[in-house]
Amino acid sequence: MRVFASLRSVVSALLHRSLVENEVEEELRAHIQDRANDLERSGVPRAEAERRARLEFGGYQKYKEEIREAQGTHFLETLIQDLRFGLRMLRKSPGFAAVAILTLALGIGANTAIFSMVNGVMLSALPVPDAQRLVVLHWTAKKRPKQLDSNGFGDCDVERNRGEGVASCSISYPIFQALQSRANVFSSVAAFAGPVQLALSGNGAPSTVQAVLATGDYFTTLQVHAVIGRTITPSDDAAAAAPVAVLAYGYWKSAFGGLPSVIGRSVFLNNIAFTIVGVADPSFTALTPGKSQDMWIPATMAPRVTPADWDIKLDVDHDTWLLAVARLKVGVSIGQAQAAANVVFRNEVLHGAKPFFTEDADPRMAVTQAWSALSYERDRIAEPIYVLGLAVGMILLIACANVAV
Amino acid sequence: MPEHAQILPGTLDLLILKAVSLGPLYGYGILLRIEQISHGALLIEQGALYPALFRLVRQGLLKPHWDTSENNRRTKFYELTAAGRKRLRQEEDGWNRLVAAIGSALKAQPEEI
Repeated sequence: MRVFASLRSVVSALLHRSLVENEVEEELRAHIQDRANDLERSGVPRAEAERRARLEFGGYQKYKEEIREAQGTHFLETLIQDLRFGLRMLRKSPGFAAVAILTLALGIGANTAIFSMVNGVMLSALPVPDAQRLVVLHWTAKKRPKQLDSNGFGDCDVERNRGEGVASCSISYPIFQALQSRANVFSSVAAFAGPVQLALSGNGAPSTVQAVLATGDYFTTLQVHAVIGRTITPSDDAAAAAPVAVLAYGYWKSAFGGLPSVIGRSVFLNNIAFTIVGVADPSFTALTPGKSQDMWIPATMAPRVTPADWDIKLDVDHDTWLLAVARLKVGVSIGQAQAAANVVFRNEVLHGAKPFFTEDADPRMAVTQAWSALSYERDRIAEPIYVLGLAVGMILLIACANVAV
Repeated sequence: MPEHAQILPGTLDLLILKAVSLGPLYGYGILLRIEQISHGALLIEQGALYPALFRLVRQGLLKPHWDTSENNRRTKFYELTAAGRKRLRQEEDGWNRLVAAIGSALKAQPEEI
């Protein structure tokens, strides 16, 4: 229990430092007073007695300083003594020393690992420039519409059914088009879905790839560039356009050897021919932290490449499968954007060509910052990480207690 | 009046230990007693007492405690610990031996060589 005794004396030394100083002052001043009193008793007038007493005492500050110095070294001396003692104990029982060092190392190592993970996951920023102005458009309604075919990919966590009401991050293609053309608060609007798993052939042995469906403005909205070739453009995302694909940097390296000759090559995705037109910047691994994909293909290809049972159509309001992400115009606040987007949204779903909400369902669109909304990784990992963090913290505590005792 | 002798640094500690050995004392009282038992022959600058007291407490030779003095003031008293008593004895013996040795050396007559 020597550790606790030392700890206690350190804490009390630190806390009582000023108390001790006061005591020293008290003692020294009392001495001078006593001397003055004695001199006064022997006939010296008070003022003179005090002066002489102070003189006889000598350098008041000097002696106070000497005491303070001695206190300081005292603290250091006892510390060094304790360290030497500790080292002697360790040398005497190397087995104990080994176990102590090992347990502490494990505790510290585990804690560091968990904390790095927490740091990476919980505090990670989106890998795109100016991510602060990127927002996600999602909606709520008090009543479910008569028909709602929803496909979500876990990117955003507002997707849930709250009893009668519904909240969702997925919108349909027509709604996306409406927002894109009529919401003036955004400098650009894009949407994406996925990744979806596709069968790839035409590059050696057949394989499966993860492909994200992205609208024409996806790369410009995110301000992500191609490192070779080009990215998907709105003309690629048109109805009759030739199918193109943009590869993710990592996938390009692993599946195509990082060769520039990949540009212009054709591969088959679910037996449909796609031309590879570019490779994305290596810094752009995925928009949603924690997810990844091998390539991006135009969103309008969705009906042709997604599983038949998903039955995705581009012209139907109740097929919600896209996640809309937009960039705020300079000077526009989230509140303003939300109000504007809501107007467009309600117009489309209540009074559009094929309205699929009724007034009493009170559908509303909300706008949330992208880094907050795209919580895929946080949702998956948060709870286990906290549990793990707690466990590892306890392990370190136990390791310390073990060594102390 | 006897001549004043300069006090040697290490001996202040010894004098303090001796003074306190005659009964627990506070700082000013220790000073008075040193003056008393040395018959005023040993001069020390009064303030030098306190770093010395602090050192002796640190070394475990003196033990302080707070109490009220005659004039009802909160005062710090010092008393000798067992280790202090032992150290005093050792120092006294050493000092006596030194005095005897030097004394006999000084008494040396030319014939003894």
